[in-house]
Amino acid sequence: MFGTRKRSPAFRQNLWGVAFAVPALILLLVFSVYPLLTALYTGFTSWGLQGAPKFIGLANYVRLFTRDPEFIRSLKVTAFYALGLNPLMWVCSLGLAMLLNQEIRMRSLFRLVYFTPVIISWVVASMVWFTIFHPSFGLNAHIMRFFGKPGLQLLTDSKYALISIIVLSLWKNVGYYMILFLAGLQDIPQVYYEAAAVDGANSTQKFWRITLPLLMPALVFVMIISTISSFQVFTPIWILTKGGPAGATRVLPVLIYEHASRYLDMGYASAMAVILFLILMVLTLLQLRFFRTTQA
Amino acid sequence: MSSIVPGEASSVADAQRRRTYKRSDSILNFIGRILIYVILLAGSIIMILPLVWMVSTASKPLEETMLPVFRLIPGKFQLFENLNTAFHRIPMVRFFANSLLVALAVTVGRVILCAMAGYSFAKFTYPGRNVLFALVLSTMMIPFYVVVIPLYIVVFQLGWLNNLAALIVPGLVTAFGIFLMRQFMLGVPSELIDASRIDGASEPRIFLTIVLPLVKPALATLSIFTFMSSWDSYVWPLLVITQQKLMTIPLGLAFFKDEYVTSYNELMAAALIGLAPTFLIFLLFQRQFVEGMTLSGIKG
Repeated sequence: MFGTRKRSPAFRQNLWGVAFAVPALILLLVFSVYPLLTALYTGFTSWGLQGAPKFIGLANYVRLFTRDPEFIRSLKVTAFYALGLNPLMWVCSLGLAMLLNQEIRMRSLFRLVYFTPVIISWVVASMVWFTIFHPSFGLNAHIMRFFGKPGLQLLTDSKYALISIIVLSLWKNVGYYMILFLAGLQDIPQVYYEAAAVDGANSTQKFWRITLPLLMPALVFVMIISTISSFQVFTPIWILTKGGPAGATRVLPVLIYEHASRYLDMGYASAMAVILFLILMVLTLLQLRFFRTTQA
Repeated sequence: MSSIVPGEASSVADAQRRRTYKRSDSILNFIGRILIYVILLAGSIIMILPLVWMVSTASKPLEETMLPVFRLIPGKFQLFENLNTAFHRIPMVRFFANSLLVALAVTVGRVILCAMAGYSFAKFTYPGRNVLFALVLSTMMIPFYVVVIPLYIVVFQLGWLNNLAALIVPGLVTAFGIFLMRQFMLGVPSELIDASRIDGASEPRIFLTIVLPLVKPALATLSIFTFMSSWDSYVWPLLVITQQKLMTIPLGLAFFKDEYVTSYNELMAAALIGLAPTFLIFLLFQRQFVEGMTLSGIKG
């Protein structure tokens, strides 16, 4: 009875609407929503891809914070990387964006030059810098020889390894954040600067009173996404140092990868991923909150 | 050279207007200007130097890469020999074929499926639509490392480890793709769709012949962005692919780097091979490339 009733055109139309969304929704459910929902649970289990996951409560988390110095070290290394890279990245990319927002010759060419490393894949960029960093044949050796010194052990000395990765990351991504800042700068109406110039404001005043406040949305956006991405760095480290020397560059994603892929310790790796997620969430909320209060 | 930032058209007028205000402090201005060029030029050299190093090293014989002096121009130019060697040291053609298959499949699938879903969320009013769309959005900002283990487990249970399907199917739909498509589909006039319905056109036909042609720029942006991110993808393939014959270009290059760790000339030649397609696509589709990157706000 129900099936033979004549459907209205509106009903048929809605049915089509649902049909358009269904294939995408099924894929999203299986490969995004389901992993997201099980991520938390997997962290409470012990599982090596054999048999069924065994529920072990908080044991993974207890082990992380009480019996795993590698994990604590990794947290520190990740924090050092993020703290070393991000402020430098913000200053450099904002500075470049402001310089390249002026009326200068070959502006497009300059922008292209600074953007070029963004185009290059992380794997290729890491390979190139791997040879550059080499203490006897790399650019490193040639530059140090100019100062009459032997090449630095940039990737094998734990003093330098993380700094080297930071330099590479800065080179690779500064152009990306520069473009985001440029888009933000171009949204600032020119009339504000003209009015300020009429009133006799100098460029320092213009920066603090006009540019920075009006650039806030772009600045917050850049700060949040650059922080999130710096906590997820993997490729350059895996290709240059594999987390070494002696764990000096073993950031959290590298440790997660090692536990998942090498030790097949899925539950434990998942627990680490949950911690990473919590860190990112707290940092994002803190940044949003800080800027909301300073703007108000 | 076309600019990579939109909104350039008014810059000449702006410049003229600004110049008239700044006559008074022209000397200070001049020094400032020189300083800007010096900074920008120095920065540019740092940005370009690694690439110059790559090309220079890729063109040298092995002995020359080990000389205690740096020669920008190789004494003996052998770029093509090095490219040839790099090509044959590892099954580069195979890697290229794998990368191309995966990137094309992901791109075509994602553009079609996301366009369909975006159309559904933008132009239909069935009950539950907003809840579903909110669900889609909620998965958009999830960091990759949070879901990577459960995703690995799903792929493992499907029996897709060491199978190119593991690189294709999970990437067929992204929340960002659906979101982007929906935003563009909102701009399609509903009157146009209704008029076609009155003319008796079927729903798939309306989608294919009326709606899709109107959102071509969005399709192009999503295609380029998807192709590039699939082509460069490294972490996920590293987890699910271990057999050499299934490796994509980034996996193959990393493998090459570990195997021929001291042959810098060949290493850089291999890097050049890996770089070429990316550069070509960037030069051809600069606008879509930059747009996709700035819209997504995701950088690995």
